[in-house]
Amino acid sequence: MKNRQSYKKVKRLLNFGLYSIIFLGTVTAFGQEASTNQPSKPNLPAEKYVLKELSGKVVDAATGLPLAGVHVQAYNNAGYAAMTGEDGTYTINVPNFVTSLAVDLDGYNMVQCAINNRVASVDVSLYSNLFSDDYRERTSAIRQKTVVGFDLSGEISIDPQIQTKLGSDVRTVMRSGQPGMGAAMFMNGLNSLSANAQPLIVIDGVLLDMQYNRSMLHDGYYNNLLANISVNDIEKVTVLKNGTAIYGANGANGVILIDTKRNRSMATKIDVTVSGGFELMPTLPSMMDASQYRLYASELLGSTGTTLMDFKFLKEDPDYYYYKQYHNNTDWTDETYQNAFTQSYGINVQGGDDVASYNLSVGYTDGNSTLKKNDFSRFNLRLNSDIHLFRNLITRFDASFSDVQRDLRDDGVTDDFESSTITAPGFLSLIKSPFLNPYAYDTQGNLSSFYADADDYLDEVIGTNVSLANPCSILEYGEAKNKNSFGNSMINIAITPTYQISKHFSASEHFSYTLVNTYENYYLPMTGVPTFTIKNIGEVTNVAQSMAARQNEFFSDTRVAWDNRYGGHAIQIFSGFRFMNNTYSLYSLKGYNTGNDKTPNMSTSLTDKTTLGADDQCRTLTYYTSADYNFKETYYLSGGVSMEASSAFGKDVTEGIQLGGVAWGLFPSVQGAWVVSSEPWFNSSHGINYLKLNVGYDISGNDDIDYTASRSYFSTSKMQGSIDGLSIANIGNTTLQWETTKRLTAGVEMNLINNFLTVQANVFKGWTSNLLTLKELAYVSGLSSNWSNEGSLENKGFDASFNAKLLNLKNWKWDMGASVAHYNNEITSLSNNNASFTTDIYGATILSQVGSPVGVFYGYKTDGVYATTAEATADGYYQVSSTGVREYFGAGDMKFIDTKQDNEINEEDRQVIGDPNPDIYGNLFTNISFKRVTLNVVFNYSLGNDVFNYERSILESGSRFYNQTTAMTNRWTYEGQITNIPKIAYEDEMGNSRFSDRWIEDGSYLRLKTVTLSYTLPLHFMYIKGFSIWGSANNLLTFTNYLGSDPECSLGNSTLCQGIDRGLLAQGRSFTFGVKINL
Amino acid sequence: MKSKSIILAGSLLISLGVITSCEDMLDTTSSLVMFSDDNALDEASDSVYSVIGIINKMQVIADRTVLLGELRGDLVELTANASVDLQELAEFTAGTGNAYNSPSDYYAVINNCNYFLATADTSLTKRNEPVFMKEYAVVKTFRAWTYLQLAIVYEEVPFVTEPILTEEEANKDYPMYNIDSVCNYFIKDLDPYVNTDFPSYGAINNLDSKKFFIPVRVLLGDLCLWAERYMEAAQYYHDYLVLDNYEVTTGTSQVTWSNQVTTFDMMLENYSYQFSSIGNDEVISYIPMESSAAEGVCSELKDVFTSTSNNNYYYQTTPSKKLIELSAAQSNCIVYTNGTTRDTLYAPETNEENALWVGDLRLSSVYSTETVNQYSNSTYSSERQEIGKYVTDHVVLYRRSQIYLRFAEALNRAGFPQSAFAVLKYGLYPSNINQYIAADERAAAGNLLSFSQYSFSASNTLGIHSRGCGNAAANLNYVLPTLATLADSINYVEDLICNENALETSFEGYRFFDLMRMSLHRNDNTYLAGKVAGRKGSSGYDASLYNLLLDKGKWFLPVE
Repeated sequence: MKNRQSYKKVKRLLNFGLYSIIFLGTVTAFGQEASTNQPSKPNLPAEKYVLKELSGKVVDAATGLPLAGVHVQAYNNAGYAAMTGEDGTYTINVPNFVTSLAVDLDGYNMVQCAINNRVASVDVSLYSNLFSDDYRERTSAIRQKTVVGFDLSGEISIDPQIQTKLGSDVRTVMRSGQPGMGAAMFMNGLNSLSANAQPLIVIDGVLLDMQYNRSMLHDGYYNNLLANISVNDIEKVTVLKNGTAIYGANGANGVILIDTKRNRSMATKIDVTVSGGFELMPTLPSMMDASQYRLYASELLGSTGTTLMDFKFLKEDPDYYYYKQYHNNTDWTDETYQNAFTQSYGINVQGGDDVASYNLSVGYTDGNSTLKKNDFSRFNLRLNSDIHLFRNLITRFDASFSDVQRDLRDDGVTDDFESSTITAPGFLSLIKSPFLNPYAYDTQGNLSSFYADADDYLDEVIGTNVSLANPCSILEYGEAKNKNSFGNSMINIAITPTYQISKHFSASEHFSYTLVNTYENYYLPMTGVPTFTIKNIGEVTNVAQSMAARQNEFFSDTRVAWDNRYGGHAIQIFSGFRFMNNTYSLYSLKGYNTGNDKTPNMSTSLTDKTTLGADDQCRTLTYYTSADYNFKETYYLSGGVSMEASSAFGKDVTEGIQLGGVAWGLFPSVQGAWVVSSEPWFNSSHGINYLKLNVGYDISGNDDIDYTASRSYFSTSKMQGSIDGLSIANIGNTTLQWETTKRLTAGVEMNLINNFLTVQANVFKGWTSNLLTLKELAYVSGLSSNWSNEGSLENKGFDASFNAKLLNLKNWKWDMGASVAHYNNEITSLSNNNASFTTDIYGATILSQVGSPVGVFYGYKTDGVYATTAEATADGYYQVSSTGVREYFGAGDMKFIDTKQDNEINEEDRQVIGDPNPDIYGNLFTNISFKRVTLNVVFNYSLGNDVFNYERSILESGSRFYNQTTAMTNRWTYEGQITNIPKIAYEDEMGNSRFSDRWIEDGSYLRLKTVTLSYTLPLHFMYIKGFSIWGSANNLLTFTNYLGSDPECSLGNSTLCQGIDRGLLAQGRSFTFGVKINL
Repeated sequence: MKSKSIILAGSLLISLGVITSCEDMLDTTSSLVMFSDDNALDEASDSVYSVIGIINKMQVIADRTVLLGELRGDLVELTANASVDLQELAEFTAGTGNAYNSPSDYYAVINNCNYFLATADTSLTKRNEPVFMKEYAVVKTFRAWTYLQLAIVYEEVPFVTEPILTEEEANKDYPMYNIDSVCNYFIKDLDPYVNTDFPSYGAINNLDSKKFFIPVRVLLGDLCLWAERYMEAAQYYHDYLVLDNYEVTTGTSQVTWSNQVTTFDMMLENYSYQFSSIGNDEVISYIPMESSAAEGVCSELKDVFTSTSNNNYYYQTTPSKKLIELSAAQSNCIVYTNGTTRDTLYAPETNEENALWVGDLRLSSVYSTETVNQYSNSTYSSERQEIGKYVTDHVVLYRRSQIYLRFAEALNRAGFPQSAFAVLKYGLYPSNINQYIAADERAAAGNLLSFSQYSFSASNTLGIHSRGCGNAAANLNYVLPTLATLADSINYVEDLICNENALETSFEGYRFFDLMRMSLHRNDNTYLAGKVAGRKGSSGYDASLYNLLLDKGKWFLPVE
């Protein structure tokens, strides 16, 4: 079976490669013919300015020795250049408007050096490129941050690299420890309430719909499209701090640009990478053992009101028939978790000539999950090529294909205990009674090799509805391609011809087509799983589901660009028109009772079949213009504006403009920057080598609007299971529009003390208005609400990073740095006349109210446990049951704070009990290199964020026949006992385990995220040009007071469900070893 | 030169978006929903989907119609298991947050009706038959019925007859209509359609779809009755009952002591069978409900009135003391026949075998309790209750006997108490009419008393009272005495009708509205207040509830 799959993959690869080569061959032939006819003209600068002569010496900062062959040129102006001689000295003639020089040598970081009013001896020290670079050539006032170099990692998706390299620019929270599940990301605070708040991802210039709010069949799983892109293929990741105008109504949540590798040189280069990794089981809660649980269960039985005196599982006579069955000591997590192995192979071929160049990469990754049967595999193929078709006509032709296959099972603690059975093997293995055995005993009392059925030790007391499945059975009998599997293939084809009309003027068209096909099968087997009751459906034996989805993205971006330089004035302008047509269709089926585990497929014979579909179509038109201007590379001004119309907008949008029969949103931005250190009066001898201030103002949008919300429509509903009825389902809000975010940014970049210390800092303040929200409709409409733009929120914050070169010797280099970010988020107005509202999710109540941050926890405060009846009676607190009866809290119950002071504990006593937003977060990092050995260490941290430990609230609820954590051995059991854990009671009538501050924990942590040691072998063979080996360790240490498995936890991408730990697979320690060979 | 042309081409390309209409480029479609500009209702098949869509919305208000009518009346009491929302209804304290107080759900029906009525192309014909006319009439009755429900639940309601498809339309101020103005509007609105047939959709899921619709004349009867237009009401009811080929007799289903024995321990029971299947002749019109919530809206009435696995057998309402007393207080007699022996025997007032086997037997026929043995820790209730009227999944709107009782109420108020009394005691068919109704009343009633002797006879028409009280015609305790004035007689007969409503239609959701209508007609708030305050029987009179209900405003639910 497996072989056939890989055979298919190989076949796909061959086909794809073949077609690519044919295409490449054809265009190459064209290109060659064209280029031979047109010899290129030499490009000489016109000498029309008065020049001044500068000279100086370039030395190695570590050794002080002069450097020869250093390229010295006017910053951003290749017209004036020089080279250092053997003694490291240079002489260059530049016009008066040149204010700084760029000094660059292979193996060293570029340095920008201000001339100021110095006439000669502009001396420069260069640092090895083993240090992180301090300067970049910039032509724009737009503030952005770019990171590169992702080769030495075994990561499946880029997300963890964004966390380690851009920790203060993007707040990342890993979704779970599943391979490639990625991270929820937030930039510039939380910029939405109900709509998507995740940043826009732009891959090679194409805006990609990341399916942020699509749900999957398997609980706890998210389809992360970034996992379709091999990390080895990524050249750089850039975050935009401002200047997002050209992304129109998509840019409000921040923009992350991901660029894949392209060929840059003529030499053919082949990189082979192989890595293998090992991930250890994550930290799991410490659960009670068999004897502790037996005690717990027998105590809990007392609260069920049973009159039975005799229970099979409590009999202690070893000769008793059922004794063995109920007297084991099983750690069920051994059955469901494992240490996991990951392997990754990649070949990257770069090369070309002056006609065509290409970057071809092929990779295969296979990643096991520490939670069994959640394995990942990916095949990926990518061809990026640049072809000179004719003189002045260059085209990019890019094609990529990736195919992800997974096994999946449900993961995490369910939010619905009433109308289902527990299906997640990981969670089952925590709560399953340890006195049971995964395997069945035969009638002779011998352990068989067959898995035990769902447990039955409570059948005689409560019935089969509390029976728990054998997690091993779900793993074993749920295993098959047509049972629990997931597949995701992504194909992208992009053609980008650029015509250089004149030296300063070009036109280009970027056409891209992306197809993402997803399928998923879900199957809950019958064997080993109890029959369970679903509300309104009744008793069922098992569940089968299947889903197929298709995302089509048609993208066209037509652009003209012009640039020129007039002395000290440099101007770049580009304008364009973008058209996007995104469709997403989904068809999913669900049914019950397949009859047996051998026919897991959907069929007409299943009971209570339901179907679900999506057919979303969104088209957008965007006109944009962006201009950058600078004077003397000292004063920068950038401006951009885009005008966007979308099929999701209403027809009568009030904030935009009406043109061509549709409403357009306008998104302008303007940025200014001032390189103070380039001023003639600036004296760099004070230790400031570089100082740049910048400021920007952007208006951007968030167009995550329900595709049909602006229009009135009818929808169908079935009657009597046989005939469709059509009725009004929405009254369209014709003024429905994007959420608007206005953001003011300011920043400073400084290089100090001979470039020894680098400091960067940004502050921002954002105002988001027109929040997409459900607004109540007048009741005569017959509908409760429709989407509307009401409410606003604000974000303010900063991020800063420091980097110091602590040691710079010939063989030793050591630098160290830190980054820190903070945001403050506040809702400033809400719809329905600022009415606060609550959202219930996974046992938590989230409050949205004016004056509070987004996502705060709203629950009961507690003040310990009543030790005695007298204490409880003295307080006299009670709750009112659903039928109006007063129920008084007694000894062993929680003491809830009666905020209203009326002795009744009810919803009105709730208060804000936690805030999932961190005070600060960021990274600490250091690099040490000795000769060819480099050690890189990165910590990440988050301080001051609260986490609702939903998993613990179940594992310590004392209300069900679930195994509990060892903390529960300290539960209240006798009058006068002083403890902080209340008594246990079946079904928890008094609500002792309700959503309260008992479950809110400080989620602060400091984590040793990665340690990477790499060594480049000094090889100089004919066929092997380079050989590096590296090893890295992830998540080695986590310092935290958090009681759950992982303080870094996320329920989803929404701003309203942050900081909720539902016990999804935690990240474990992992160790990866890799080899990179350059051929 | 070359570059110029390319620039030209480029700028053309860029402005392409403007030249071709952006509107078209942004025009999207969906296979999941139908945009209102596409739902033109101009094809024959459109009408079916729209009518079914309206019924889907009626499903949402179906349960509520019954609960508001029954729990606020005097025939049931709540058990300790009743939800707070239900308790608020029974105690007349329901606020705007009550689960059963949502006027929006009624307007969902109305808005869909309004859309159909405004959009359907009634001029469209197929084989010379108007395509939409039948549905048009059906939708008009749905709308009128829903407005009547709204008016009697909320007293005064915004009156909208045009579809609302924009926020602007939703936020308009609409005129407020009360019960009278609603009734008068729809009497005029519906009258042209009295003879329009129901559409033929055939059987849907084995249910006769004709019963999903409301007979126009019956609804007109109700509207006229509420609007105090009694003659017209009587006429509509009458015409509905005698309509050629669709005659509706009362039937002979009854629960009675066997007239073969004198010991009163053997019963002949075919009363409860009328409720066991929705296909019975008894049921005239109902809202079809789904069998499970997974399939759509299903009725929760069973869970309120009876013990089901869904409510863990904890039923939430039970017959009130008042109903049990009223039922027991009825005089039940049989005409004993044994060979040549023939005598009128009166049933004893107590029964040792079953306390309910006294007086009117209908209650004992549809209400039973049992105690089940089970583990004491079971989550299930061991005390269980069955109400024989809640057997099917569906919510009945009209049934034969109930229409007869409405007819009697209209006849009585129109000034024909003897005729009304005859509905209860004898059954209306030509020989009875001539025998028991005085000539002057017969003359005044005119064709209101005209019943075909072929269609209406002793073999298919029974006095309603006889359904549970044996042979009412022979019962000397059940008579209309000669009273001083016609008005006295009318009030006397209306009291009997009121009691008969209780005996015949208890648990079915009509009670509170019957009491309200009679109180309004008598212009006497104490009538309703006294009845409801007495729901706990002779020993449990609730004076504070009485005082509360003297305020007519409390009869209606508040609107936010």
